[in-house]
Amino acid sequence: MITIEHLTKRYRGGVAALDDATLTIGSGMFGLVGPNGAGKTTLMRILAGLLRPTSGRANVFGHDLSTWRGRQASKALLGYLPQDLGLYPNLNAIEFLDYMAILKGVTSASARRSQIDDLLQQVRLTDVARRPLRTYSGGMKRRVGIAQALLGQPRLIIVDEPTAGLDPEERIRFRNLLADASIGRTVILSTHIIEDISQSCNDLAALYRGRVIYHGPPGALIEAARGHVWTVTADTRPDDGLLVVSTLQLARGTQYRVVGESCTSPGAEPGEPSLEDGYIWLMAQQRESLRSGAA
Amino acid sequence: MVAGMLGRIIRMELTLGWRRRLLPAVGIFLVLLQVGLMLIGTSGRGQTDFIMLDDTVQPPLITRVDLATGQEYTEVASLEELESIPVNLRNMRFDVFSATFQMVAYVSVIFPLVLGITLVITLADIIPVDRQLRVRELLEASPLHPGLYLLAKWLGGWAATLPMLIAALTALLVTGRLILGAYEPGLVLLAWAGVTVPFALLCAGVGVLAPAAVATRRRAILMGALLVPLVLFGYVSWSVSFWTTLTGLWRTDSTIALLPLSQSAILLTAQALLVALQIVPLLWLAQTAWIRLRR
Repeated sequence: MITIEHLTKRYRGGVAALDDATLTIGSGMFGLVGPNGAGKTTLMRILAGLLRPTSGRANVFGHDLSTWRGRQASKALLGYLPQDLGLYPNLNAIEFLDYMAILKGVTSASARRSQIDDLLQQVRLTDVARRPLRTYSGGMKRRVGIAQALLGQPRLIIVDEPTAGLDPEERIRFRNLLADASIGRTVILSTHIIEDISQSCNDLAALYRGRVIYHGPPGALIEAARGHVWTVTADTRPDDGLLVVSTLQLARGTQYRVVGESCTSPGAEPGEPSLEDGYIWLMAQQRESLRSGAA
Repeated sequence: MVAGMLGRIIRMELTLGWRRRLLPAVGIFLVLLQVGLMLIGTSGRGQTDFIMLDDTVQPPLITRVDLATGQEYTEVASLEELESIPVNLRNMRFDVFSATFQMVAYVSVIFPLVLGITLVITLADIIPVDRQLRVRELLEASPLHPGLYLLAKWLGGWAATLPMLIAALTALLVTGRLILGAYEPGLVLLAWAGVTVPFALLCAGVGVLAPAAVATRRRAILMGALLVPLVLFGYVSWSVSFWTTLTGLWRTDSTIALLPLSQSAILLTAQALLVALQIVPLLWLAQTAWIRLRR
């Protein structure tokens, strides 16, 4: 169990990346969504023991992250894939994973070898495992990244934008790999790709300007958007404060999928909301409440 | 477990160091420099026919060599010859002493001088490069203690220089035998093990640890370059000639033979180096504390 209580992180200059965030994360896949600058990466870096919060508490499987000892103990349970992943270009995948396994405290050579072989197979890099990492494509590097995050049987896996830059097939494979890894563990997945969350997470939180604005199952977020999604076929883009989620060119005109408080466009048909619609609706409400608060 | 982890990280650092290709280049440079200096040093040297004066027998005997044929011959030493040869050059083969002295000078004077200049600069970016390659975040998210990380980087950097030191020594031993003739290999090896290797350890420590907190590779290398005069100042203080001059051993009128005298000078230098090496643990403690403070 991971508990976050009133967590605040202010950087130099007083910018609040996290603002009184409170969350409880259980086992399974946990999705973290929000626009750029919402505080997702800051939250994950705090949970990975890389950053200290300005105030508040975080606890990972009983280890208090406000102490050095607690952070070190929680790191022993952690698999981490940062957004900006770096690798040693002169090593090959086996050497790099072996190094990471050593750092994670897997001291037995046979255990390391067997884990590395399994993971390379899972991320489909066995054939190129002896090639220097500098020759790998972006997608292959991400796969090495996820393999290193899964080394050492971590209880908590934190992955920041893991599917960015992957092709659709690789993305699905990656998602499934994380879903399989989440059995009996906690996987925190931060992404901009709502599809990844809807296909794999049973719990999610949305952050906006450092605050947790939603925490619950994806289904509830979808339900919140019910009655606020429409399909409009028209020659011109619908206005009156509606957010256009998608645009499709058809023979009879342009079909718009819109989200908003109400839709008065002629021929508007209510649509079945998706998680993406729910997310867009949630963000629209936040912006609106901020606007009205400011006014 | 910590020792095992340290050993494996050092091995990995060794691999990384050699794959960067900079250290092999320095090694080749060192070998060529040694051989070149030896060739230059011997080209202008005048030949002498004196081999040995034995005053332990009555009457004293002098051994000479026929420079044309290389044939040695012994005769009774004249009074003029007895007065012209210092007491500490008697009862030993002058050609062996001369070659050994030159070899010891190469190993304990030229070697450290080159190491002081090259190692401090080439190893300066060993830690900042992790940050530049964006691997540092992965390492910091592992349970690896920062003190162990710094220790492994230092010892790994030093271990990576050992093959080039061995190669340069081997080249020197072979070239010395071919150019200078017979010498005392024990003293040359003692100078290498007692002076060159610890000096390399000191240079690696200063080069790796002093710029550890520097953000970029360029700044680290610049800092390394700034540290070179300091290390060279230390080198002068710890050199064999410094200790022999300080203790007045060269000017002794006693009947101490010069080869054991060289040994004393080497051991004094080694002792001084061991004292100077304490700088490295201090640097290590300071950098470890700094990292802990920042995390």
